[in-house]
Amino acid sequence: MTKGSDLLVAALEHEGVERIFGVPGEENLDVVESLRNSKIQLVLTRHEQAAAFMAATHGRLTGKPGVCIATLGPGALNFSTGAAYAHLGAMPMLMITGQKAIMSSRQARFQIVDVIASMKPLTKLTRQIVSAASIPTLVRDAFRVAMEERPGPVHLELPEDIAGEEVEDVPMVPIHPIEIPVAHRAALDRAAEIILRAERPLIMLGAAASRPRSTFGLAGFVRRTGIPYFNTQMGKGTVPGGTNSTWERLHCLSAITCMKPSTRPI
Amino acid sequence: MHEAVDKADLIIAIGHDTIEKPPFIMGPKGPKVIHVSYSPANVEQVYFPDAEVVGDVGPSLELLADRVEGKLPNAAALLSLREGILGRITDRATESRWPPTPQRIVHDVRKVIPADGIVALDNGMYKIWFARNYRTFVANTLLLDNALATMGAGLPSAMMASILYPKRRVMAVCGDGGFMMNSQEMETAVRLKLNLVVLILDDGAYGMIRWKQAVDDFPDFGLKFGNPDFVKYAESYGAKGARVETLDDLIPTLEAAFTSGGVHLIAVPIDYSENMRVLVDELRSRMPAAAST
Repeated sequence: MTKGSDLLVAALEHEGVERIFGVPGEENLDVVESLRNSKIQLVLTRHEQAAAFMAATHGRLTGKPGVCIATLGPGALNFSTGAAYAHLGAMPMLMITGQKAIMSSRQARFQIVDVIASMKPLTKLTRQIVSAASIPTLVRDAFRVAMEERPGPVHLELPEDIAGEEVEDVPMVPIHPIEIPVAHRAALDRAAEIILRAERPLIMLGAAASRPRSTFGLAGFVRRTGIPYFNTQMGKGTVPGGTNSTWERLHCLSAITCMKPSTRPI
Repeated sequence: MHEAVDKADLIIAIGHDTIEKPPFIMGPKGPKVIHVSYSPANVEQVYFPDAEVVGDVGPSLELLADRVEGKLPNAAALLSLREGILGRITDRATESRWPPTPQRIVHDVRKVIPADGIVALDNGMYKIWFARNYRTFVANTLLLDNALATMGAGLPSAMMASILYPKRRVMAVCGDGGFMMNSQEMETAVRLKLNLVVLILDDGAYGMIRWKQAVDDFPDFGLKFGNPDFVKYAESYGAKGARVETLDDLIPTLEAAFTSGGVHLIAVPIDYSENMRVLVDELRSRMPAAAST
């Protein structure tokens, strides 16, 4: 037999999670106890918003979701800005929040906020966990959704009675790599035709060029075409080599400022 | 840079995500745009590409380069603009005015951060200056948020970078407004024994909004505040604090902070009068045609 919170922590370990950032509450105490017996480090922050910013930045820098934890109501709502930060910034992140028991309700509506609904516009996926046995599947799916293009935040709500629920041991879902398809030949031919006709071409490197998986291929394209490039604010640095290759330095025009060429800034 | 965009007849937009403020505006007269990314382009009033190459970006670009390599006599047509653009970036970068200009601060920060060092920005006026003037050599070494553009993420994002890359220099650059929104995390940073330098650009105001207020010809009202003594504030957390009082002290103070390790809070005043001159007046005079859009 195993309990819900142990399954959650085992599923996170299975995904290679090393740290969880956050501010636990009473409704997370089973999870905290399971973390105590795991290899995962619990990193306390002094506000849930900071924990979410840290988890999102983990996703941004590594391509693997950062994980953060908070309690129900006030804790969960303090994740909101971090969720939006990850959602707009395409940073993979998993937020875990507690909730009062769902099979009984001894405290009536005390502290209960519909967190799932509040997370809906701020995440790629938000789910309440309603049985301990479903945890390995839900965690695997949450990681898949968070990492898949376009990456972003996902949210799982673990009510305290489900965290404490004892069930038969449940196996983890095996993880395999997923390769993204390469562009269709027709699309490449059409794009090539336009590039061959261009008289004053420019390359722009945008936010998605900064993804850890993207850097491969960018510098090669710039070098092989000889077309000058510039970056958006979030695409800065994506063509590496500036330290030892004068070529990239010579072809980088600049990062643009984000000002509309108009009489007043937008 | 707007100059180059204005003259281009084709922009190959790699990985553009329209959550960023529009880097260029498409109109009925062009330029032509090819969108290369993991997913199709969102259709926007200012972004509606002529062709799309959708798929894994790296391998797709290799196949695209195979088709055009060696057949592009006009490839470098716009390269001649480079000198002018870089000249404007380095303009006033070493000026010794006090309080320092944003250009000077960007210049001095770049001097103490090696190529693989990471600068994590909060949100404020200085973000535009770093985006414009801070040259990057490695992906994800200037962490800025041009998507939600929230205040308060500078310190936490720098802390995460410091945890992941303990051997690289990591600096948070925050305004006094954004820093104070999550400054309690100084305790977390000290408890985790991180190596981290937090540079606070102190203008005693929500400076970007105050600037926009001025650009829009509103009177100066309602956006100034007071600050704690940042040196004592740092020390109360068990971090080290310093206030830069002269221009010559900026680089040595930053350098000493990185050398000694631990968490450092360094406050420096900033002169934002350059905002109007460079970001409004100069842009307007260089781009008279665009000024009416």
